[in-house]
Amino acid sequence: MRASSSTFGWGKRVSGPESLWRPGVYVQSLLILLGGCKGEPRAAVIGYAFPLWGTTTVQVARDEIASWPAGRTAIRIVYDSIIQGDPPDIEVMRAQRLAQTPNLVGVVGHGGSRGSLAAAPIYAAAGIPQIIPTGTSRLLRQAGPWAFRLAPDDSTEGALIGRFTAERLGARRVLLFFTNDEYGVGLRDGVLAELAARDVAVLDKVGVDPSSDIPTLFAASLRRGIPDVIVVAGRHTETGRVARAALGRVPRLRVVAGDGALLLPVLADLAGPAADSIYVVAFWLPDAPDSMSRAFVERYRRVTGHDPSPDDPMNHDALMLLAHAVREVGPHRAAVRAYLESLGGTRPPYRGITGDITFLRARKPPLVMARLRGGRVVRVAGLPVP
Amino acid sequence: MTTLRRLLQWRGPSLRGLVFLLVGAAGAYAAIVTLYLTLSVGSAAFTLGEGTTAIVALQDDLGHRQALLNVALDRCRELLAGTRAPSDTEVDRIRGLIARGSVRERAEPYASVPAELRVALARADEQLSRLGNALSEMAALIDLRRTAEGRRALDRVDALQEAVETDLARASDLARADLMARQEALRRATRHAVRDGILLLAAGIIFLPLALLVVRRRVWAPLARLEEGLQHVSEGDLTAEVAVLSHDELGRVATHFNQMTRVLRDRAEEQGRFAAAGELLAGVAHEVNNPLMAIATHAELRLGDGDLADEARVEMQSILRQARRAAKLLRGLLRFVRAGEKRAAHVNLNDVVRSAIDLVSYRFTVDEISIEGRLDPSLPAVHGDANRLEQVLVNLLSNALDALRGVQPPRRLVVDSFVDRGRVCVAVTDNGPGVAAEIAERLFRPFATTKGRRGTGLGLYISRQLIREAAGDLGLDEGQAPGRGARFLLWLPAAPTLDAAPTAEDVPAASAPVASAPADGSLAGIRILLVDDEDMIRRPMVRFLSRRGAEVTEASDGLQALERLAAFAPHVILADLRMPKMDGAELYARLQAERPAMAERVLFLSGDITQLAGRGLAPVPRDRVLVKPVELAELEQRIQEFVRESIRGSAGDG
Repeated sequence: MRASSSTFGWGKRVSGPESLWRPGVYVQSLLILLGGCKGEPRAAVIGYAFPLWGTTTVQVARDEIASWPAGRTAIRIVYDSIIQGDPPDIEVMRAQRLAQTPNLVGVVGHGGSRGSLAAAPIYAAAGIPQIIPTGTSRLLRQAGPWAFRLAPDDSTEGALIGRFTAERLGARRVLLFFTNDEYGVGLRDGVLAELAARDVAVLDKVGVDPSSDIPTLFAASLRRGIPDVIVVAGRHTETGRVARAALGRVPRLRVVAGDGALLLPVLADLAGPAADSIYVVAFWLPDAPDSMSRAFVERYRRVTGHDPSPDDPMNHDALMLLAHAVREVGPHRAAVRAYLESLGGTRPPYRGITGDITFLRARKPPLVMARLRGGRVVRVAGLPVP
Repeated sequence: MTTLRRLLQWRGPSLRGLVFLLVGAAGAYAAIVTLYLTLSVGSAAFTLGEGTTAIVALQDDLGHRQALLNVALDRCRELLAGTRAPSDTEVDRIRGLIARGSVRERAEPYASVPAELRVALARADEQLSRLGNALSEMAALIDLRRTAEGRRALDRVDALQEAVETDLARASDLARADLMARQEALRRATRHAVRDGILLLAAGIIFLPLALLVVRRRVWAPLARLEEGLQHVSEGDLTAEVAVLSHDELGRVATHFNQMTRVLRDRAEEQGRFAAAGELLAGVAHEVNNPLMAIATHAELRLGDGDLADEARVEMQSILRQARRAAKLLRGLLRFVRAGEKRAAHVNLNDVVRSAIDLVSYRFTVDEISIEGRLDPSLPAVHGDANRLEQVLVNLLSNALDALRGVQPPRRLVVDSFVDRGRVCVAVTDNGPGVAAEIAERLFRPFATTKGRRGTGLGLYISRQLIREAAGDLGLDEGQAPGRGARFLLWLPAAPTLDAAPTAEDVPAASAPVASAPADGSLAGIRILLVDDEDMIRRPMVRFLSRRGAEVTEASDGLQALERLAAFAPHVILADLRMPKMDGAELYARLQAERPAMAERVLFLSGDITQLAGRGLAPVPRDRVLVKPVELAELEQRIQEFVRESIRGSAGDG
């Protein structure tokens, strides 16, 4: 075969049999393609940092993501199914495990302010964006540039509770129970500030936890007077038990609690006959009339077989926000973080079930006041959000 | 194979490349050392610092909270152990302590601590919260005066306190171990850094002489050779050559230097030849002036004869005209060859143009060139050196004539003078081949010639310099179409005075005679001593002066003149400058020393006015020099003026 010079590879002209250069080009192109693809993850992983019992939302989010048209990057949601529990050391371990997940581009979690605070530095060191769906502690403001909080902070929620208590319920004397953690203490301070501004007397401030002797603590606090309203800056266990302990001891019992208390049917069970005296703050209610809420409820019912809880839309918004970010900017942590920072600035806010989401300024807080009626939550109409 | 051949032929990097390599190597060396130290030691130090800060902050927070809760517990113990009922204030204070000790007040950086310690600290945090809650219950029991239950609850609280202390102790141990490990890592990194730093320094020291050697060979030595060469050239030695030992930038500079000195040598030789030719020409011109003066003087004398036949008169007039023309040409040539020192004055460019044309006119007939043009009669004067301006015009005309040789007839040369926007302009235009664009851009640069080895390449360059010195400019008119000839334009600013400079035709007549001076046209009563070694010049002059009524005594040289002066007191001494035994300048100097009054009566005759300065000649007053060949009428007039002025002044010693 007559030798001839021809173009080969990078444009160098060499002499050689003409039949050899074509396969060489193909092989070379394939190698370049593979080599170029080697550093690009084919899947993006979103971590969901909640205990196993809190992962129902993941199924709904997966279902929604699966309905998207196929994109360049496949998005997976994973959660730690090995480590269970809530204490901060557990949250730390969960965060460490998740941070080592290959192709992880972001995390939703953790449940509660304390756990989120403990985990935030781990994600910050690894450069992983963390969306905290329901944590309200003001300390989360100092969690670093990689932490993004969806819920309003405790001062906003506390102000809502205080205003409702003073204006809607007409309270002049209040008894305040709070959990001794970042959530409870923060909410307590927010309520106290609002009540002080309205000259509402706080008869006592009592620290409690799920294992506390609530009746004893309640009895001790009643020595300071009979309250018009009892405010509980705590979770469902404390709230339910306080309501039950107060029943019969406080005339016209009304208990107002923060978002951490809204877990049905546990709250109603714990409160017993006092359940219907409980008012509770929620980020969302299933009877929300907007189309996004309707669509979410339908999907949730179809996937899980039951109705979503008031916390589920916040978690769902956090998951879908990360998924959207990956779809927009690719599976790169820094790019995802920049995307989140740009919402409401160079990009329009993200439309979530709980409203428009932006981290550049305080969003309109997705707070509603509800009360328990027959084991279900009912929206309290006409409540002004501070 | 080609690559190998190229590699073998490679002579090393260029100077730029070498400098780049050395600077790059030095920079890389410094960067490596710095980066290495920063990374190895800095990293460990940073880790130690950051870790220490975080661990201390976390432990401080836990310790502080533990202290608060311990205080609350102690208060509770006191109240439980006591018998009196606690006040609300005391209970509130306990509750305040419990609330502050139960929870952190700020977010702490867990990330900087190792995993095991992180978990231990978080566990201690949780235990403190539990302890706080238990204390809350105890405070409630105390508040309710249920002291017995309160004492029983102490056990649980004590257990929780122990758990807190255990967790805190464990966390402290882990923290201590971690900090020790970081400190050891820093110590180790420092040791390695010192060791490696010494190695790197040693490597640097080894390479330093090598680098110096390379720099010395490639930079210093070539620069020293160049400097030496430049010094030789500055001292006038144009034969200096620099050895070209490399092919890099300095080698190329050396090559260019050698080429430059070669060109300078060639030009200097040419200039020397021209200068020698000029000297020769001046000498020949001077020698030719004497016979020309003899011819002109004889012709004038013959024309002064009243009985000369008409035909002979016409012939004598022609002889006189040609002799004067030859003399004028020689004068112009001498002026051109010896520019001499600059003498600026108001000059009429038309006169300069005419003089320049005269100098080159001999080529018009030979080369079949027609000369045209219009000289503005009202052209304002310019301020400049007429000789230098004439040199410029001759250069432009010569270039035009040379260009016209390259075209077929008709060959036209056009010279115009005009005023344009307040500037006095002269344009020299020819219908030669013109100036190509690529030549035009370097036409006025030194050593740019289109005449090969015939040209010095300095004509236009020097011409432009001369015009610019006179505050004008000289340039090629680029408006000429290609191939349609060339037009050079020079301009000068008009001189400040309002009137045009006097042209040669406007020279006013000599001033009016002083009382008691001889009558116009007559030299009666004037005694003249004529000193000239050329008999053929002396005799017709004596005859002429005698006819005009002067009493003339002759001498053939300065010595003879001095002898004559012992017995003869002339009104005027007419002395040639160049004479054997004692020339005119020496005679003047002797008279100045011995008979100053007589020295004031000397008028000089010279065949070459440009030789008055230099060459060891004593200085003579220039206003008393008559340039040969002197027209007899002018000679007579000058003698009359001279005598009048002498009479006006103080009397000599006779």
